[in-house]
Amino acid sequence: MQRHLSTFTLLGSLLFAGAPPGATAQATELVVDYNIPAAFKQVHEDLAKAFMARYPSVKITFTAPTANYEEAIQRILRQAVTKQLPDVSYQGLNRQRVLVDRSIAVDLTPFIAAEKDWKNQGYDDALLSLGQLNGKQWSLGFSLSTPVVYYNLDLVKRAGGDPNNLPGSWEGIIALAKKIDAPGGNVHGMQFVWDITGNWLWQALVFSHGGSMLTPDEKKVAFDGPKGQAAMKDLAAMLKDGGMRDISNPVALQNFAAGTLGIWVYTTAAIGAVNKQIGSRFEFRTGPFPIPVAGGRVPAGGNAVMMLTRDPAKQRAAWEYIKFATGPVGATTMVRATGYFPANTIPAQRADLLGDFYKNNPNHLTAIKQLAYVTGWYAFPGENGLKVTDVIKDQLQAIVNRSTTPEQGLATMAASVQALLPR
Amino acid sequence: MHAMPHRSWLGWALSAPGIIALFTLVVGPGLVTALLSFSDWQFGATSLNWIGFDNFVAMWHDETFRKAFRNTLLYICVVVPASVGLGLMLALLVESDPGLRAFYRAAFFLPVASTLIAMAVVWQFMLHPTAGLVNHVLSWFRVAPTDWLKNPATALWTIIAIGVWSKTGLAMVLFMAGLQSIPRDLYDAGQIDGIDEAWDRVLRITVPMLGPTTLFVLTISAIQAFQVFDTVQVLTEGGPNKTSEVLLHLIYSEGFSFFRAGYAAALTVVYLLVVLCLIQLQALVVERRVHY
Repeated sequence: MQRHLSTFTLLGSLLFAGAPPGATAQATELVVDYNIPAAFKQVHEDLAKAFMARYPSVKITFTAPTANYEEAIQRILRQAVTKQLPDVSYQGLNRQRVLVDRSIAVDLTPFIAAEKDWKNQGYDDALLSLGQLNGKQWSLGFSLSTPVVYYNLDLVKRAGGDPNNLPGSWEGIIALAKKIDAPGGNVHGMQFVWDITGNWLWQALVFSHGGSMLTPDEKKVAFDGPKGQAAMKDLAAMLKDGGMRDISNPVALQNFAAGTLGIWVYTTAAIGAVNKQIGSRFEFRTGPFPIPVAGGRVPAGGNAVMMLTRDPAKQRAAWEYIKFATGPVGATTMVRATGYFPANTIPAQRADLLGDFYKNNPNHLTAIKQLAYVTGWYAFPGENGLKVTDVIKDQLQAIVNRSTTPEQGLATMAASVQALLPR
Repeated sequence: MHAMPHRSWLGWALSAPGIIALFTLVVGPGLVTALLSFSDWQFGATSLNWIGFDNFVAMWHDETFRKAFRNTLLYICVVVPASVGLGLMLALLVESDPGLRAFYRAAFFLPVASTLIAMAVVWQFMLHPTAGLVNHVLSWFRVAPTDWLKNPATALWTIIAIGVWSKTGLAMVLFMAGLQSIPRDLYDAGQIDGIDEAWDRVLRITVPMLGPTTLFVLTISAIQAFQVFDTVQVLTEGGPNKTSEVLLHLIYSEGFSFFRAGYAAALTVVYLLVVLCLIQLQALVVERRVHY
């Protein structure tokens, strides 16, 4: 067993090492749980096959996948009570905190410290920070997404815009949307998908202005300060001048795919689906989410992979699997099948992996360019952490359906969130 | 008197499976829920603190709870009378036409027999703001289209309308069974006594004779209406801004989306108490007026 494990570690550091280790010890079974099978089923099955081919002594077993991040975390919490946890689990980036707070997740810091060649494995610091909390590493990013701006180039041209010189600021975007928008008609200017789970785009607006959700000690609301107010002004302008409506995102997606929505602020993860729906009916392009101030950031969305097993033998196998799934092979498989991007920098630099893919699919490249200023998807602290998200969502809804003013909505939002924070 | 101890032993033995099931499946979980309502237990947490009545105090000040409570009451107050009334009307109409009785019975019972979640998805298509059938038909009558499930003024009423639609069939079928059991001689006797008008017959013979059936239908409908959950979960998730939030969905969100299990348990306790009160009240009020 000992000899076998040292082979493991050796292979882990040489990502494309030739011969797999001989199956000496008895098989270690790893139970893995993942979510959103519509996007990831094939990816995970291919990955498991490739992993088992390289490490024949490990057997990967999947539990039935969960439909979304909410169900994924609910199931883990149930299983924690009934002691039926999987060994490895994929979770939404904003759901990690609950598993850390409940001591369900295993700290990965010692595993990284034991790696001899960690610096050269493609995990750069900004990407690693997405899985860090309280100074420790709890997960590695698997499939990441950032907010991007989708443009219908036909509508942009018809409104007198230049497809090769798309606006970079909200002022520019809103002005263009205003020109595209035909009041009373069938063509709409822009849609900002404010209701993505976990207040994702609201966080993006605030972070892009250099703001944060709470003060650094996490005791007080910070999004009602000048930076949050600036973010709210952007949203107010979209509602006032951008032709933004109070519609649900499925409707916005249908509109965009039907060619009746000019500008759509959403996640890069949808590029694959949108490509399929639009076909060659019109051309669309993605642009970066505007960053109005120096030091502004965007939150990363997506999936991270966490270790849950406490058994040392399984932990070693799980660590190899986690590195495999998030490393060059896993990332290449994942990107080709979805619109997400990997939390590993190696594949994009190598033509045989994803280098050519990105050259031929510039819409996917927008998110990669945003990597330089990506930050974590913030999860609120304390027992009301998830309730806070819902309170923010309700206030945003009130602002978007014009039942309150943006200023009043922001003030109410801050007061009701403050009341739910740990004292 | 020798047989008594033996017989009581046998009685307990025979009812044991029932008693055990009742305690493990109903009384036990109920007590655990009641206990949890005095704690701050988080779903999936390994420890908890006892916080007395804090959850109930928080509930008293919780605007969302008030909205959910009001909405649930409004839902019951509209859905129960409407579905029972419509059910009775349909039963009378269908009964009067023996030719197409089987067809109508099947057609109106269909919403009850099908899964409400699947039907909710069908409603979602019909209510689609731009491509939906509902807005399309309304446009013939020059009614401005709206996003029925996202408009704060219409969301709850849309859920209520779907509730009436899904409950009417059950009331109809139950009333049809009740109609069958009214002896024909009563109508014959009525005719001799001079009840000639159809409407008179309904009011003086049919409706009073349907008393026990009506009590049953009302109770069943009220309890079912109080359990409204699936349409809300699928169509609105309580939104926009909790305008269509109902109690059961609120319990689910608090417990399983926000993991505030202690608070959800407190909500459940209140929910169960209200159900108990409703049943008692209904039995008291209605039973007095029923002719058996």
